[in-house]
Amino acid sequence: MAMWKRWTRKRQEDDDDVADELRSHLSIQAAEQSARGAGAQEAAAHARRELGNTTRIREEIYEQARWTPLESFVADVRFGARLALKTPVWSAAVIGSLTFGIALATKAFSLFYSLLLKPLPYREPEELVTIWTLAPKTNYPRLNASPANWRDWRESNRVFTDIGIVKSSYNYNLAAGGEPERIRGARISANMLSVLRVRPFLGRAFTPAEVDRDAPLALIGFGLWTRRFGSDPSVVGRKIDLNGRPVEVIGIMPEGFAFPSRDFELWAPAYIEPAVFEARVDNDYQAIARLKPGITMARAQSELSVITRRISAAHPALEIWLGRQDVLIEPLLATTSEEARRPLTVVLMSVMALLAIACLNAGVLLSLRASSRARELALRSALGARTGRLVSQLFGEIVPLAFAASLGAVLLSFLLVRLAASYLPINFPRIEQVGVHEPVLLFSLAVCLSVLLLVGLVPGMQIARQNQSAALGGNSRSVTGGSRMRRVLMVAQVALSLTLLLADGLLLRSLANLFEVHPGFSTEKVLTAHFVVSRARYKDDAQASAYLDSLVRRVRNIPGVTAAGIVNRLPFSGTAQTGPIEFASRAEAGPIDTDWRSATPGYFEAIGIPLLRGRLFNANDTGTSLRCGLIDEQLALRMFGSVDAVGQRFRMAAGSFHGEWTTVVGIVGHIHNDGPGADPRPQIYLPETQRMQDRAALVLSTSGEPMTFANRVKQAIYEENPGQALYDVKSMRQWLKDNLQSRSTVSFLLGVFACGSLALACLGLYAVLADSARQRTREFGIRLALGATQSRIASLLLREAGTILLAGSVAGLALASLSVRPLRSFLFGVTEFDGVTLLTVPLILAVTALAAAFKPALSAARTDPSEALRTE
Amino acid sequence: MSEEKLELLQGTLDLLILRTLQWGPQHGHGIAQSIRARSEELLQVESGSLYPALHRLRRDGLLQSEWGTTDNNQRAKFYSLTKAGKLRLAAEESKWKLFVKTVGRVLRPQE
Repeated sequence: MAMWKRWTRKRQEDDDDVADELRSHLSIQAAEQSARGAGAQEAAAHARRELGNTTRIREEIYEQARWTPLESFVADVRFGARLALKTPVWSAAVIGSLTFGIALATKAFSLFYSLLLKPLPYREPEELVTIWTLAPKTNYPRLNASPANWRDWRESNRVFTDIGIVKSSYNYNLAAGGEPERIRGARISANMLSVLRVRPFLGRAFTPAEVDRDAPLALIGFGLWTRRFGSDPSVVGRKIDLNGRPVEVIGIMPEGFAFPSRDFELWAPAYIEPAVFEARVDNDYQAIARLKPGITMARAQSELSVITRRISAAHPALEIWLGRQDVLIEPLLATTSEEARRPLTVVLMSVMALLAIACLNAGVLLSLRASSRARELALRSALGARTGRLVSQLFGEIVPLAFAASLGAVLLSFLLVRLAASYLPINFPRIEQVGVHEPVLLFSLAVCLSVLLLVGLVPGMQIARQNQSAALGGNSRSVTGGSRMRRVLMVAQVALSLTLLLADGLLLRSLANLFEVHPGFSTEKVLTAHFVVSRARYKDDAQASAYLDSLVRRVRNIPGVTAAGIVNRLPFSGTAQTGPIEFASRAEAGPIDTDWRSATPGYFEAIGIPLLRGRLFNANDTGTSLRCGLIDEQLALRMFGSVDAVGQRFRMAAGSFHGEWTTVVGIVGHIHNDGPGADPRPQIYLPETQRMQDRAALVLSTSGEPMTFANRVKQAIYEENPGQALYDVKSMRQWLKDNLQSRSTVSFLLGVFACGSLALACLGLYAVLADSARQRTREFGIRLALGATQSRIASLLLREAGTILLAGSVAGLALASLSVRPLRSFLFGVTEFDGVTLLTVPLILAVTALAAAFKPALSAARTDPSEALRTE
Repeated sequence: MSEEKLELLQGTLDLLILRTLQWGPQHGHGIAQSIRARSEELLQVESGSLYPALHRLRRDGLLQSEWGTTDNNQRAKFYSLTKAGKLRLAAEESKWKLFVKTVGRVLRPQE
């Protein structure tokens, strides 16, 4: 900095020196003239004339001083910045487009990386894999592992250092001074932590012996430790109340340990009864293994496949309903990121389209400015300005824009990170690790800057070289090179925008369709609350079901509650508690996969599942009475057709495990259990008194707004059992919305991008048309003078807009048909070539383009012919 | 094309300046007059191109400059040859002689 000041000062001094020198030349010359007899004034004037333009001489000498490249660069940049400030609207448009594009692209990339690509936070994470079971006869593409398979794999494999299992479907009531809280927990095998190579940072892990005897021990998570126990190290060794049972805390897991996912805060031993091993059932455990160093996944896959098929063949009874079992091994990272993968890919692709549009837009705007300065550039080039100098100056004009855009993009990116937290679906895994990923930011900036350079310099250079003579000739009509490129850029923008709009249109329609699906139960005026029954407190089934009944009674008595009941799992709770059943009189049909549910009598009325034949559960269905159950109409129709299914008998049948024979006492409506869009299975219901479940969801129908009853419900439950923790107290509508949240978010984001791209395309179109109108001013003037109407002139310009729009739409449709593939899994109720979308979207595009073309067309029509013909 | 023309003039002017200064330091006005005189008024050196040439030669290290006073007690900047300047002059002179001889040979009628 100081050096620069010195340098500038020296140059100033040198220039003063030259001025002195020239003055001395003048006085010497003048003296000479005087000596020859001329008057003083005449002599001086003669001398000045003879020397010529002193300023030019000084300039030339000044220029001789070799500028350091940095100096001339800085000067060019300053000049460029001044130029940019002189045209604020144009500059704002360029900077705005790029900022928007870069920031969004960075955010999307960062998300993609954080959620899908970043390695898991375990040691040597690339060695960790999930082992899925494949059971071809079931309808599931893949299953979790059964404990029996796990044991056999461990014994016979040579490719893994170890295999651990985890069952993650546990909820615990924690009552530790203060409000009872529901903690999500997982049961893990003794070796699970060593497979992951993680250790508790205080205390220790379970031993195999402790797991085998189902010891009442637990590991707690760092967050839980801080939140409930005040980071007190003496918690280790202390007993805490979990589900009414005293459990000893033997260790605390390190901060950031979120296994199998973010919500889990407690880990207990995975005690498995010998009977479960025997029966080879309970495919409810996620098997995670660590590959031995040097073993590839392909090798592990083939070896384990052979082992599994051999084991499967050795148990023919299982093969009846599972088929020959096989395995699928995938990296743990893929398993963890599964849910986020498809939505993120769609978001990423659309953001890339938006970025492309932003770059194209910047290109169009830069190109417009370049051609408006074509004459100036050409003139300078003809006068001998070095090409290098011109390039350097153009570069200098781009740099301030690039700098402003980069700064804006960085700021916007960080802002988006804050916003993202509140907008992203809550069930995205690893969401706690989302941030702005620096390499991604740099990459986006680099891409944009290079595009900027390309689009900024190339047209400038082209124009300067090509149009030297033409531009100097003065007729601006001949500067057409840039305008053709701009049209192409505009067509590309329109095409991309159309693709985005179409994609979003399809998504929105799918979403609307999903919301409209009647899932078989009421979604309005229904309140739900979840809890877990403490079996330590309600030891046997009779006590537990009595507890549930009194809870229901209390809630039912709340004024405004029209019905209340309990089921073990609500619809839209994910796929769980499913299994095969068989009917006594339809043995040949084989077992059928169904959802198993346990419910209290009031459940069906509360949630709005209709009774179609027979009766619902009532108070007479106790633990000791006849085993009874309800089946849904889909199952009844499928198994018995028009024959009345009431009175038929069925039982659960999974491999060698058989439930008790149960008599059908009623037929209820079928529901979409997995989600509004999916419908894979029928349901069967058993009374809670006969099939007690720890997990419970209270359902009540209300006369008014469901959430207004929440406090009263909490109060009622508190009166029955103050230690009962409740969670997920929501209206059914909210429950449905949460289920569709991932989809909604993607549709929303895509909508934002589509609107953004539309706005940018409009901007570009406006600029191009305005420029075109200006270029054609002479032509319009002539036409008007020759008698054309104003509307004719306007229509000429509109035709230009129309051509771009048409070409863009055609290209856009072609592009859309190619790129709609990843969307297929999101579509519901619409095909890719949905008529409604295909009609409305181009219409929206046309209307917006018309709006953009409006002002230029209007001013074109208002051209004053005499003005037009006069100006050049 | 225009660039070449300039260069030729530039090179020739440089040579003339160096030659003029061979006999001792001189200021800009004096150099111009000297060239005019020696070429018998045929070569009119424009002061406008003289001064940039002088400064360029100085930057290139062939001349050095110093403020001084003329015979008429007027302040002026005097230029003189540096060692490098003397060497360059010798080199340019022989190049010029060779140039003249070669062109002359081409232009001479066949013998």
